[in-house]
Amino acid sequence: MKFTSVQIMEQTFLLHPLKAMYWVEEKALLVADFHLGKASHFRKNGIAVPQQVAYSNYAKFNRLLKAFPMERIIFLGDLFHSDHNEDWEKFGALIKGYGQYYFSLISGNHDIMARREYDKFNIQVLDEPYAIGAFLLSHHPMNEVPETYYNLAGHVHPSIKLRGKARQSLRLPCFYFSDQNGLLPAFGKFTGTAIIRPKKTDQIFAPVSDSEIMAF
Amino acid sequence: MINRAQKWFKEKGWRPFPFQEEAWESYLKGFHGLVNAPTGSGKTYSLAVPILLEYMKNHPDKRPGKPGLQAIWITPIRALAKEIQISVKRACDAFGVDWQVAIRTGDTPAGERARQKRSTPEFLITTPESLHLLIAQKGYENVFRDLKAVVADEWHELVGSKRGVQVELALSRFKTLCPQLKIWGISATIGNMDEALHVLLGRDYRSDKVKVIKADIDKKIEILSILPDTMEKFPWGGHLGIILLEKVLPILYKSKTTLIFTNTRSQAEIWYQRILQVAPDLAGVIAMHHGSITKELRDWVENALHDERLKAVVCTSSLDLGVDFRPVETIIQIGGPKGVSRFIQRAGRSGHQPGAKSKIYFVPTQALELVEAAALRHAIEINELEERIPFIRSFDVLIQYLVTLAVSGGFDPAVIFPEILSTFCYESMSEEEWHWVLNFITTGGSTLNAYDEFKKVEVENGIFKVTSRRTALRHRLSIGTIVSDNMMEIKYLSGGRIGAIEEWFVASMNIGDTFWFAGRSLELVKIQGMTALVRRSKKKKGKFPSWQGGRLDLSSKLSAMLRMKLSEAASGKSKDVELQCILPLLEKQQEVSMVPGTDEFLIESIFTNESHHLFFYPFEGRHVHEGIAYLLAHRLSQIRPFSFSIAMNDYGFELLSDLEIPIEEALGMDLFGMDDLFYDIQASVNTNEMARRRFRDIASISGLVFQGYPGKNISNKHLQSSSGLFYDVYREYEPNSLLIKEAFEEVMDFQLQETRMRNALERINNQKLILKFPEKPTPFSFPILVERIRERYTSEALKDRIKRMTLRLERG
Repeated sequence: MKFTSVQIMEQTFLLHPLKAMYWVEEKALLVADFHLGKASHFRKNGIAVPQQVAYSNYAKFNRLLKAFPMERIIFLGDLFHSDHNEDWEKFGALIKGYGQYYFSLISGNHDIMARREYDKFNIQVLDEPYAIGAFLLSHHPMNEVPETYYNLAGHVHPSIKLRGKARQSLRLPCFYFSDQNGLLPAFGKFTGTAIIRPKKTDQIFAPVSDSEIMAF
Repeated sequence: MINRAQKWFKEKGWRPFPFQEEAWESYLKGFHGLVNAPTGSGKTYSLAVPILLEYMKNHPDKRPGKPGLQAIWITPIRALAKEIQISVKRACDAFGVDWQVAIRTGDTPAGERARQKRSTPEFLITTPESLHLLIAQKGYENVFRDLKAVVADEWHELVGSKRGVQVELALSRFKTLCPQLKIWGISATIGNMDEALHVLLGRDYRSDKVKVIKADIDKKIEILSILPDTMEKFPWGGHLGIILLEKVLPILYKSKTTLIFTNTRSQAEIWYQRILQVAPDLAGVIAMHHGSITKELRDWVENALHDERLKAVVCTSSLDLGVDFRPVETIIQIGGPKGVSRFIQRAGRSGHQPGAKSKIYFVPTQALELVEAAALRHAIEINELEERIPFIRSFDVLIQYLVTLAVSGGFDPAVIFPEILSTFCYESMSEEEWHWVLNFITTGGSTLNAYDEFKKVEVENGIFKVTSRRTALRHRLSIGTIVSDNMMEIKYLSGGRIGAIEEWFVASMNIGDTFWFAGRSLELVKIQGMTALVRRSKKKKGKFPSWQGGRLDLSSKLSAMLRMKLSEAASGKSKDVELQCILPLLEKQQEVSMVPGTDEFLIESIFTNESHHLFFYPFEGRHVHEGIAYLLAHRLSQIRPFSFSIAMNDYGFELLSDLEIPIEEALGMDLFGMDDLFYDIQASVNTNEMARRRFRDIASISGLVFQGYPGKNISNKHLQSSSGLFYDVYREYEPNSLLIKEAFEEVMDFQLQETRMRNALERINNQKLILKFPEKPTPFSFPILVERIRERYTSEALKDRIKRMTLRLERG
């Protein structure tokens, strides 16, 4: 697969249509808003979300892990949807198969499980913002980014609205890059999106299928 | 026994109507039945009296201390409860029956509810929702054990809704608990009276103890249209009607009290504000009434109406029903009411003196609505009333009901299944479907899986029950079938609630913006959780909120009349003033395109700004148009992939594309053909938004989406989701779910009304198709062209659509 590549502060990022981003120099995969266990959380509370929703997320994640030469995986918050349920154990079993990688989570508003749950699977929990070089990684987008830094964040579940002739319109989840802020689309299935209105100078990339990304 | 009642009536100086005496007699003889009588005709006493008489007969000397709940009176609207209570109490006093007559609705304060629990009232007036809440209480069986009668008042309002299904389900339970139960309905005249009775009684409809009693109270209705002086300046499109305001004012001044009915809440807001602008002297004596204003404000308006303190009230369907306001002399209807029954109901809000003629003024909002006025008049003359189509196989309501039973202490399927089958709604349910439903509430529809933690209803010794208190609480808060959008409460900064507004409207505003609500100019100051804090503003410019409710659909009765009247108007020989008035417009239409005769079907093709518009005019109402539009879109897409924007009104619809549509080729290929019709409808429904929209209510009623309530702080952040997300994952992973099927069946029954659509297509096939190429939008096409609510249909691959570069990113 040919990936869309984005240059930010002299670093190279590859955008994956499955809604994650690979940082070439760091050999790191960035994933925002996985919302793992959401379907099961609903089910545990008597709301019948189809079980297969959870499985499709695992399959997608598995594909991603195999897509690049990887050293670390960084979750930009909202990795797990709510309090503990069985999905966490299944996820643990999955990442155990990738013991050679280094997993970190930048804590988001949904990540409310006890620290030991993350320790159990060797997932390092970090407070936001977490700096790597000139990049500040966070869950919530930062309003003010210090000069010479760039913020990469999740939380928003960004999407764009396209309009066309003959009153056509369309909504697509997207990657968003402005001067100092970048937003990742939500990775998880069964999550909604929020429409953003980018400025002229902003760069927008939207997956249009499982294997293709278009730039706007 | 009946002598007692006659004596009482005589003392009061009343004379019983024949239908009242007939009802008394039938009830006492042990019949079930339906009293067909309009509001304000003494219908309450037709059934309250015999319920009391029978009690007196069975307890001639000793009055037991506490006989338990004897009768339930179900009313669709809370506002009516008070008046019923007063009437029933009066009868109790007259007969010396020492009953507690209580009201139990969503408005009943906690203290009163607790009192009712300690000491069961003998006569309970309630709504379908509150009735189910009572069934959700532990030990509910004991409360209903002594029940002798259930009366479903205003049954015509309930029969075509899921609230009616709630009544059916409650009755199916009561029939087992109280074998002596008698069931009666009270209904205004509708097109399917017999079916309404069948829905109410379920299987008992077939017994020989059933009676329909008709009150022959005929009200005369006169329709007066407010006509523009000239057609030249009268708008071809739009829904407001403000242009005729100057002609409405003299009517307000002349009449003691006037009700002005609008079709939407935002239209009510606009009219209210504009009236005050041109007639400031009316400030203080006009008011507004709609469903999103707080109960306190609405109560104030209703009381002021009673006390003759108001000259006019601008209102919506919120005042369609409810207590009679005797001072009301005049009714004004703004815009087409879209149905004959609704119009008659509104007209009936005036002229309460027996024999008085109800006068209703009709204000058209666009030119073609003039034809609607003439059609209405004719329909009323020949008494063509709409049917209320009952819901069948509503699995969402069944799921809610079963969880209600499970919350109340549990149910045994062996007892409940036969009860459910005895209702009209679930008559045709199969055993397999029943098991699907049980599976859905116990395992979440999963094929058993060791890891699954689904928990809602549990099975203990064959009894299905809910043990989690949180699940039970959430369920009690969600009982009901009326689904609204996420609402935000509007409150003054200084305290005091004003009403509720949809979340998306608040989201579209900035802090400091001004908007109109409840007739006041308000400034948005702050948003706190689900509350919008405001203060009064002096600014005269502001946004008008809109509420997304469904648009009313032109009924099939009215659309048939409409087609007839249109051709009558085109002949120029009509006696209706409205049709004479609209003649210049029709001449213009004839000049730039044509006015189709009864044996012709018109299609207009117009090119603008590199887009191709096709207009079709079946005159069948917007819902059927939506169905036909999707069908044509689907068939056109067989030629090549297209993306269409679809708009419709009650007269026609538009297919709009950024590519040229090969309409001539399509017509040659039998675009309207009946072959494969069923298959094509299915295929087009599969790809469109109609089922998705239907699923919104279904997801909420069946408990998938928890609405939450403004003002009630229940932490459920992590359980919030939208029905759209549910629809998508169900379509993808559980397409055979009965809830998905229900959404599709509802589309077919209520939206497309398959038979109606089939009839329309057959008619079109017998008509001569005429394709016109006007240069500019015509009087017929203009109102559709400017319609802002649009549907989409696409058969193109996502990336192809984007790649054709016709889509542009919206940037800030």
